[in-house]
Amino acid sequence: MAKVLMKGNEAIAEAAIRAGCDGYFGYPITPQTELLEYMSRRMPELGRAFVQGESEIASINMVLGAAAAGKRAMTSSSSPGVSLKQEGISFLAGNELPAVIVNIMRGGPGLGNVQPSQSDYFQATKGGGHGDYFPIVLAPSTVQEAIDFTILAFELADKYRNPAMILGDGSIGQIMEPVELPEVESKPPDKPWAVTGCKGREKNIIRSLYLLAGPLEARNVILQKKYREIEANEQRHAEFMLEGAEMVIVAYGTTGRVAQTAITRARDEGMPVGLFRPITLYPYPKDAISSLVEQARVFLVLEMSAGQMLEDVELAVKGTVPVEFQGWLGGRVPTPSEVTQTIKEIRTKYLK
Amino acid sequence: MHSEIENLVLPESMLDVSRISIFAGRFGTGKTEVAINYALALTKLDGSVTLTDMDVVTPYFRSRDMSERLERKGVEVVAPSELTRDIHLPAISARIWGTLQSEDGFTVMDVGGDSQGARAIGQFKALIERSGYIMYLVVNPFRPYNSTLERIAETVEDIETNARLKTGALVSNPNLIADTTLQTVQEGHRLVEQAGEELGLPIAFLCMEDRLLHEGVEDQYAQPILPLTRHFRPPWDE
Repeated sequence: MAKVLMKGNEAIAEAAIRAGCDGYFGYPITPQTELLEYMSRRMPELGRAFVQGESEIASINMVLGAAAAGKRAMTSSSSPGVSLKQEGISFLAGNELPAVIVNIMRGGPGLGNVQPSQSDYFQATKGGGHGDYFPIVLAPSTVQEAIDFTILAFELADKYRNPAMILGDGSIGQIMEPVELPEVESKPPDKPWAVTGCKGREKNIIRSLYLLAGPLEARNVILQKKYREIEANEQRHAEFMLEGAEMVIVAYGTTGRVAQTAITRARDEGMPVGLFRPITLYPYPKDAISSLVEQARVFLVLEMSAGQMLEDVELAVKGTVPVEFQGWLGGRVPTPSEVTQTIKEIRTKYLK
Repeated sequence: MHSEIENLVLPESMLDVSRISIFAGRFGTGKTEVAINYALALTKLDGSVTLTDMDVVTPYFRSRDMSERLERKGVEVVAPSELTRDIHLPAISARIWGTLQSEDGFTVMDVGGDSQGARAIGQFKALIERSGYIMYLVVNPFRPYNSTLERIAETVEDIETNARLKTGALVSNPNLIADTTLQTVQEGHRLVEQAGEELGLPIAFLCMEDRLLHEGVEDQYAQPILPLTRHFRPPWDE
């Protein structure tokens, strides 16, 4: 496979195409718009559907329609736009429909700004919309991962009949890196549940409306069983220099990458520090974190937020080891030297 | 490590410089890095150098983000006001009128990608033509919509229609950023040369990151080489 140079947003779009995405429905918003732009050009070339909806809400509901018809469908946006999509995402989950949603996060709350941020973690991983549900959430830290995880997102969405989300910050969307695009298209499974016209078969009904408490409870029990299955099977993470690490940094996406540079420098100075980088944010890779409490004397969580993933780390560590936190707010991206400085401070506090 | 820009001089064959040099092309082909390096190289000649940021397309990694560094090195940057820096507005600076009307010095125009970007300079057609210009089309064949002769031909037409100006030459910028090797340059440049022949456009120069410019590399190419210092780096690579 020959390498090409792609921006994160374009790469996600091309990966979706190779994953067999039949329909893209979206609405522009910085810093994600290149994804929609790329799709607006490529999808018609391939005879597939591209629709710029009149709003984010319209777009997510078009995704729902396409998914119900058995098609691989996706939408993408950035933070405020993804807030608008939450009702539709809840409906996708309630209807057990597979779809891919991309959030290239920007600074918030409110209109915020167009700089990179990770402050939609709670929204993405704890449901976001109404009701008891979880979308599967994947967090790329390179443009290559943005490609690989987009393909994986389509596969996991189909496997569990559940919405899957790519959660990247503005940097992941905007950065350009050399990548390899897979040549083979990912094939969707058969979808006997899809509403495709019921000639010669029983009607398929896709719904999230259950008027009575009993049937809705039964429905929820089925959904919860599925989420436990996802939690048991799909936790993913990456490790960097964890061997002998007494300080374990937990960071994802761009922050994980900045931490990696800082850790390389700290290791050169003999500091025993390593990186645990979650790839799935739901299901959170809590089992692997829990198993690190034997080795770690302190955890340091880094996020471009006020401390959202921090809570998942604390839940996994269960108070056995101290958990420290540093956050960057309002669209500011940390530098490796800031992180190195924090590593030094934490080391003085706990490891000396 | 990267060689300092102070060592950068334009090859003799590039010294015949129009008053206005325009860098246009497909989105993400390296126009801004090329324009910045070119403007810095021009400071070695007599006459003032102005870089105008015409990008109405890209939210990050624009000339205006480098204005302090450039001003320190003698390049005046004409860009939307500081106030609008972190807002993604399709705005250009009113000062562009003055810059284009001036009869002295060199002006380098960094144009946003694709036809949408090119459209932002179309309104200045008359002024640009009066001053004398060359419009360069920056090509990186490792980028989407840049990798075949047909696509490059389409791009020329698309940009010219929207900029309302003629392309004078191609600028060959074959790269995979950090993964670029001499072989990458060779392979990519071959395609740009073919495109140039097909389109009847000369290749003004070939861009190469300074780390690749070992002794003798220049002799392998018919065109002059513009050494590039990378100014934009991702946050984890400060």
